[in-house]
Amino acid sequence: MGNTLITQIYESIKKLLIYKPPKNPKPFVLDEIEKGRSDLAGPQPQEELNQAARELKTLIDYSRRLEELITKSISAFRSNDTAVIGRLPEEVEALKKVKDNTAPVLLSYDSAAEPLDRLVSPLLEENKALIDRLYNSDINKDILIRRFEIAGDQPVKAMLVFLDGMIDKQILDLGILQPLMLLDTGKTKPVGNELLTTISENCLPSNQTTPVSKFKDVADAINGGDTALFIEGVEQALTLSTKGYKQRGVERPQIEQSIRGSQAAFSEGLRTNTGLLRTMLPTNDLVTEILMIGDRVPQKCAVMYLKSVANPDLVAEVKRRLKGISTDYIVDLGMLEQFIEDHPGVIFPQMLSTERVDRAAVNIAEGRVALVYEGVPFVHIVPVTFFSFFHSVEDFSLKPPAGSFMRLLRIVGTLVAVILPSMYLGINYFHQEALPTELALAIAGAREKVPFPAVVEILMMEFSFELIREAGLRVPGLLGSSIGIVGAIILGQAAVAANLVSPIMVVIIAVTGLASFSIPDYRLAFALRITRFAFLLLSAMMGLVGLSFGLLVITVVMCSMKSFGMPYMTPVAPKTMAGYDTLIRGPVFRQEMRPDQLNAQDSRRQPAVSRKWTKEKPVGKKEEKE
Amino acid sequence: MNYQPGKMGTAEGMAIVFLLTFPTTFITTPATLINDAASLGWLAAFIHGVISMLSLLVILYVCKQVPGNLFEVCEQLLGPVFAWLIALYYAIAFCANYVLLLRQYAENTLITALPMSEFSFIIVAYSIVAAILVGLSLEGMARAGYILLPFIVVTLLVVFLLLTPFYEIYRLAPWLGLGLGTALFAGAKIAGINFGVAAVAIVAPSFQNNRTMCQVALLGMGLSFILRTMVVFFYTMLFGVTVGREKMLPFFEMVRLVYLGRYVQRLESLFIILWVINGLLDLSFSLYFALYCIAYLGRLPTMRPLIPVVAILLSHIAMIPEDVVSAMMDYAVIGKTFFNVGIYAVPVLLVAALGWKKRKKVKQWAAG
Repeated sequence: MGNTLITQIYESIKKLLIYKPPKNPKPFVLDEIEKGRSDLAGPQPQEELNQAARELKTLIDYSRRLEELITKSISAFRSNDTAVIGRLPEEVEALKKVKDNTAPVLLSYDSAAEPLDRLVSPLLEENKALIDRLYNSDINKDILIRRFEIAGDQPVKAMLVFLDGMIDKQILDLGILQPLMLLDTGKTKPVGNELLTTISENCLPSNQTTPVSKFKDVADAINGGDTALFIEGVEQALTLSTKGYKQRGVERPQIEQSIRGSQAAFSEGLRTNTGLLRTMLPTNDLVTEILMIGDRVPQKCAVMYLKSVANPDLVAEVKRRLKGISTDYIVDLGMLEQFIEDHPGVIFPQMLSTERVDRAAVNIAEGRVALVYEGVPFVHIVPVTFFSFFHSVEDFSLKPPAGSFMRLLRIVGTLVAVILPSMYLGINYFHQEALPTELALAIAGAREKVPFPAVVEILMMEFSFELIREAGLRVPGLLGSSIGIVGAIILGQAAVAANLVSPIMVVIIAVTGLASFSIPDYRLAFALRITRFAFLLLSAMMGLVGLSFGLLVITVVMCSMKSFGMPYMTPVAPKTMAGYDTLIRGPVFRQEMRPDQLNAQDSRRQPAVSRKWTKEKPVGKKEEKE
Repeated sequence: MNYQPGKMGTAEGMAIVFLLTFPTTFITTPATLINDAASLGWLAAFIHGVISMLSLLVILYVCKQVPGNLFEVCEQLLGPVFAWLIALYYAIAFCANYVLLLRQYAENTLITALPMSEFSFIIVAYSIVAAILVGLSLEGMARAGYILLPFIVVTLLVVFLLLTPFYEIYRLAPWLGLGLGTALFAGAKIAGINFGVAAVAIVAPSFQNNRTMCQVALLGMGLSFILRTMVVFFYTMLFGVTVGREKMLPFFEMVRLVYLGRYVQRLESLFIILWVINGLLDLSFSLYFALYCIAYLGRLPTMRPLIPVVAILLSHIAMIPEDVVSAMMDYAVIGKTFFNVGIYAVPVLLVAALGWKKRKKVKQWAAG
């Protein structure tokens, strides 16, 4: 058929009417990774092992021949055997040839090792190749390699390696590059490791320079914001402190606010936090041990304690547990806690988490151990008791009666927050006789128009309350608190007006919510909120009997728990010497001993008479007598 | 064997002894004592407490001479067969105690708190909680018990105080009683219900030393029988002999009388928490020691797998008695007979064996 007008019209109509799927590429589907395709998949382990064994054998053969030649030379010179001595240069030449042949083997043996296990090479190019391989510098734009020449009569090639964004460029330019490139001393430079020492001692004004031989140490330093200096012909690298990444400054506590006491809170920098603690505890007795945690992405975790006070077994146990963690990456102390706590299945916190520097310092001074983690603005304290969560540093800033009153208020608040709704439900369902007649009638009258059973009513209100709380937390800025207040008022009013809930229920939930805010520790408050729901269900099923079951089980669980080997409910159960710092806060000068349960090396905090001036005569009186 | 508990102190031991002996005061013991000794029921309570304490002190004296727990002591003094029989006795006694108290607590819960529930549901609920507690640890239970002790004591004292307007002292008049001899005999006869005091000797190695155990005996048992005596004393002053012997739940009835005005009255439901927790701990301790004895009898490495099995079995047995009255009568009969073996026969047997062994040693020494 020719290309006539009719066929053209036909084709046009056909093109218009008939649907043609667009020629899009196949959509992406994340399939399982093919075996062997992974970048991590190297040669077969057996083959690798055989190759390494062959190379090792060659090197051992060479060293054996070298040893034999040395022994032979010694005996020849001792016996003055001229014939043997005459042949020695030839044999040395032969061995040199063997050495030249063995060099690639040595290189190959070294290169078969994992990049991080390899040693720094005297060849700059080889080091660069290894850095490229380690950091994928062809695609990774963070890693920067700056080549330059160290000035002098005989300029030496060198390179600096660092991560962009992690270093202070001013330090790099003025403190490292400028002295090395411009400040030529004019003297003849030494070679090898001596050159490194000279540079470190005479040229660089940097406050921390560390010579390292292993690439693992080089990588750790670069990852931490330092700069590595490689020099041609030197078998070591120099790591230079150039940390300059941006960090949040020391700010006021957000969660543990107080009217009195220190107003400094921890921030994300590990060194900032250890520094803050050290300023609060300025003593040489304060030890900071740093461990790396995480197999794939190691992060620094500092263990801080007072050497002469903390129980050495406790410190050893903390370190043992930290070293025993094998995981890719831990981002937060909350995650770390789950790896090392005694009872990960129990909802109650087993470490004290604080953002307050003074609180952490007081606990360290008592003989506890603090865990500081890179990137986390909180410090965890171990071991702790249940009662520690009701303490606040502010208690000690107030007079003993006021401090004790605050603590009792918190405990009563906690009890109200946990059992008030279930108590109400139990009495409402099963034990109406416990209420005075007028009150019972008032409750019945208020509930008359509500179409739901009390348990649905209470769960609905609890759920709404939790929603308001969560929304208030997530909405940024001032709007969050406004949503909380407005949401609570409007929802409560509207729910009562719509006869969805009774006014008494609003009162109960409001009091419970208010009481729950009196729990000083966020994580404990969270645990008790969940416990409250369990109690509600038990109470709905069995009234006060169910509530008794719940209370008893929780008490026994807590009495069976330990925090780093220390009973959770001590000094109450098991009973130990309580001092004046458990439920009631006594005068500070009467607290002679450290907490008994900590078994600190030095259990005495102060002498029996800590206010010695009360035993001395006033100065004025002395003068009068004289 | 890892069914052995860890280290415990005076406080834990005190709680164990107190909670194995006192909670029956919340159920039928006061009524039984008044039934047997009339207005001198309080004296009978005092007497049986003293006897129980002496019984424990005698066992502890033997344990001081021969190291080990009660069964190991028996093995050394009486031989393995007797030791096995004594362990069997205690296993049965703790099981019986668990079963009969479980039924009574379940029925009383039914009467006072959950009248619409099925009693088997309550028995199962109690059993589950008891099994959970046993699974957690003896130390945990003992420490929780120790935390509760002050609340129990203070609550009882407050109740005694609140009931002041209702006391009638003449209800204690001796001429309303059955005589001193009868009271003493009644007290001695019912001492068996405190056979649980032997628990201290059963887990003896867990305590720090013999002195700790003696403190446990004196403080734990002392507090228990003084409070029980007070309860029976005030109960008699409240209800008298005739009405008092009829009450199934003496403490519940006592609290029910509280009236200090429109807003402080009918507090009995609030005190349910107190006696339920007491009863549950009593049941848990009984179950724990029953399992401990069974594990010893079978030389088992751990009791953990036995917990659900034995708890289910015993809760089924607890459903066998026809009604609560049968369970109460069974408990009274067993308390006055079988349980008395633990209070009287075991200490006497141990002391006799110890004396015989000592004499034998002296003779051997004299013979050169």
